[in-house]
Amino acid sequence: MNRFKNARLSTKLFTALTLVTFIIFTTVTLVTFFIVRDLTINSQKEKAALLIDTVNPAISLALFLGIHDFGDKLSAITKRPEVISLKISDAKRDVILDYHHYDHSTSHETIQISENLMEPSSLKVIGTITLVYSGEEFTKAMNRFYTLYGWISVSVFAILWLMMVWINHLLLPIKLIAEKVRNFKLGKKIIFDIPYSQREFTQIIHSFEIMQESVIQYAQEIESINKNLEIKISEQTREAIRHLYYDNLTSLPNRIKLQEDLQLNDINTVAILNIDDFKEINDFFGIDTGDWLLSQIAHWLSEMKLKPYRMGGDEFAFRMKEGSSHNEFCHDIEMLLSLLSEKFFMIAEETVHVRATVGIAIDSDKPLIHADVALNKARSAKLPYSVYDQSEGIEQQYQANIAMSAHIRQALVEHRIICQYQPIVSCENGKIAKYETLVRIQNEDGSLIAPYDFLPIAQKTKLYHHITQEVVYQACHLFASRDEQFSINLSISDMLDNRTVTTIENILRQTGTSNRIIFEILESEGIENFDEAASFIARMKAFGVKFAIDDFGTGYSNFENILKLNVDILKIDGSLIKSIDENPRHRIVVEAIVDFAHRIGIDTVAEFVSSEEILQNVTDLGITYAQGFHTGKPQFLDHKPM
Amino acid sequence: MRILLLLLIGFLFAKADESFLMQTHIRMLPKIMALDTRLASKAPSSKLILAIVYDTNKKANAQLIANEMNTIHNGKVSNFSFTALPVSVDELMTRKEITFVYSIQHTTAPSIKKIAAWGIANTVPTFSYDVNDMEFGILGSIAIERSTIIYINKNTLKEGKYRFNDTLFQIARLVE
Repeated sequence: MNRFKNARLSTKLFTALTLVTFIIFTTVTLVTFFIVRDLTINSQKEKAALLIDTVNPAISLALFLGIHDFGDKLSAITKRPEVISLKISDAKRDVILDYHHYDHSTSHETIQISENLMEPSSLKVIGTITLVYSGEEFTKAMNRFYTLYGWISVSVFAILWLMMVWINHLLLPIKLIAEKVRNFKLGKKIIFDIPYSQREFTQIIHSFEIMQESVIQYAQEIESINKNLEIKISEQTREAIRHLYYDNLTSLPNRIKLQEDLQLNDINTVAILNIDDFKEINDFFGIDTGDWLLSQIAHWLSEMKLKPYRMGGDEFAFRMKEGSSHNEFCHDIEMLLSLLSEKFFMIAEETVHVRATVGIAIDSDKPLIHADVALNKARSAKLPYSVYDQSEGIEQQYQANIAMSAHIRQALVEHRIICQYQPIVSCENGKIAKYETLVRIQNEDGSLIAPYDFLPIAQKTKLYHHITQEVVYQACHLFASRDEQFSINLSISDMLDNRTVTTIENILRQTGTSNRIIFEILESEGIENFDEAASFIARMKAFGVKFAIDDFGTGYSNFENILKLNVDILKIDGSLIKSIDENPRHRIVVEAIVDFAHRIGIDTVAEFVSSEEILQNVTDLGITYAQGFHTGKPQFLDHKPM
Repeated sequence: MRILLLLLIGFLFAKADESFLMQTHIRMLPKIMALDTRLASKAPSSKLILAIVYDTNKKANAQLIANEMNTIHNGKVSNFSFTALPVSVDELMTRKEITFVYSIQHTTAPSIKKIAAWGIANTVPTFSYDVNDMEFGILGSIAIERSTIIYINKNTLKEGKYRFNDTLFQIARLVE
């Protein structure tokens, strides 16, 4: 059906014409056939009946009169070649006459007609006359009919074929027009020089010509619009390129431009300059002033003929000039730093002195990364500049850190952050009084990663809070089924993170362990962020939580701050404890701490108790608890059945 | 002797031929009577009378024929009942109910003429044993030639205004 739907118009027309003709022709032929056949056969029957009628009265009378010699009376019939046989029977069906005419044409159909013979006066049936009439005339008539319709069929189909040719011829102009339109191209006008003048085709051609004019007009308009668009796009592209490759604030080429420039030629020696303490300038003078200073610095750097790039923030970069040596480049950088240190910039009628640190990567395959590494190294080492040295393995350390970060994420997802618990024993009786929770990452092979290998990285990758929440969850749920006290280390960032604080509160409520938990805070952190720490401690103390200052004795905190923080335990730093029997100064410090703790009524814990001698010393000094490998190694604890 | 034998054989054949013709007449004549289209109006009684007319001393022959006719047809032809009766020529002249007349063999010419005249006058079909009697105005006769032929006198037919079923004329041979 779809094939016909998509067929050519000429095919459709011809098919329709053929179908209609076939239906009409077949109908007419059949109707004519039946009419001719019936007429012919009826005519023959009438002839036969007429013949019988001709002789019927005489035969009837003869039969009535008992004259059985019908010879003369039947001669009118029997002499006719169409009469094949004639039979006369009386009322008793006794055959009185049985005439047969010899006929060669036995293949013809025959027509048999019978009539009653009746007594002339009373019209009683006195016999039967049966005539068998030759159907030769009928057969001949039908053969003439077949021949006639055969020729008519041939004629009709010849006419159809001619019509097909004619239809194709009629529709040829459409094909020619279609071919011309198909090959239409802008700028090449179609000339419809088709030698057909029929009105329909001239109308189509006229319509196409009008359409062509419109298309050409539209094309010209579009071309004009395109040109304008191209100009605008070109402008926009230039602007976009400017935005892409140039810094809006300083109008210097940016990091992307530097990366592309590095790819374009072989000079892979780069220096990255970072303004020292620019954050403080921003904080002190405000961002707008900071930006203004940056633009001044950029302008000054441009004047130094080093073709600076702005990398973002307070960082600028320089690429070694063509034809220059590495030493010259390093010398130029040294000179730049020297000049910069002497340069004063004006901010709000104030002079500002700016210093900078530079990292240099020489002939590096990753110049920006390596320069950045060198910059970090210079900043860490408080050097004015540093040159990247691959042998230092800093990059490998970075990669290791990245791998560890991924490892921590994976461990969190796969619940491989686990806890071990180190006993804290009472110095008085040697019994385990509490446990310190120590976090580990369990590798897939079952081995453990110590916290100092991953916690610093976790802190830098913002995973630390997740680890803290996991540790609090595990420890609280474990000790919910036990009766010992337990401590967990918290960083100041944990205390400042609302989500972590909320999670801790929820866990404490769920497990009911708030009166046995001790949060350990590093002395240095607690003191540096005193207000935040005090606020968190007060909030948690409301739950019954205790607090300990961890590694006490190494920082610079004074006892007043300790009093204000209202902590419950001082954990004396292991570096003081482990050499307490050898270093008298350490012993004096420890004695002072213990004395202070006793005076304010809080407990003390000695860390790093690694031998019996140390244990004995700390016991002698009056330290409340001892913690170390000697008193108990970190271990896994089981839930105790309640 | 030979001549006598030949004459005897000839006589016997002649007799046989006459007998066959007579039988044909006996069988056909009542039926021809039935073909008279005005038959029903002619007969006052329910029974038709077919008169076997004889001349002077031929009553026995006429009686024989009448009996034979009545026997063969059992007094009925077509839808009609009839009776064949021997009637003399003179008696015929006085009778009115007769519907068909058959003049037997050897009736004299004057009698034939009288019979024919009576028939024309009364529109009663008259048939005779002898075909030659038609010359005297007898309406018809039956002869056996190659086949059985009914002769009808065309002039008498017109003169006597006879009306027969048309089919009769299809097989009959009209003569003048």
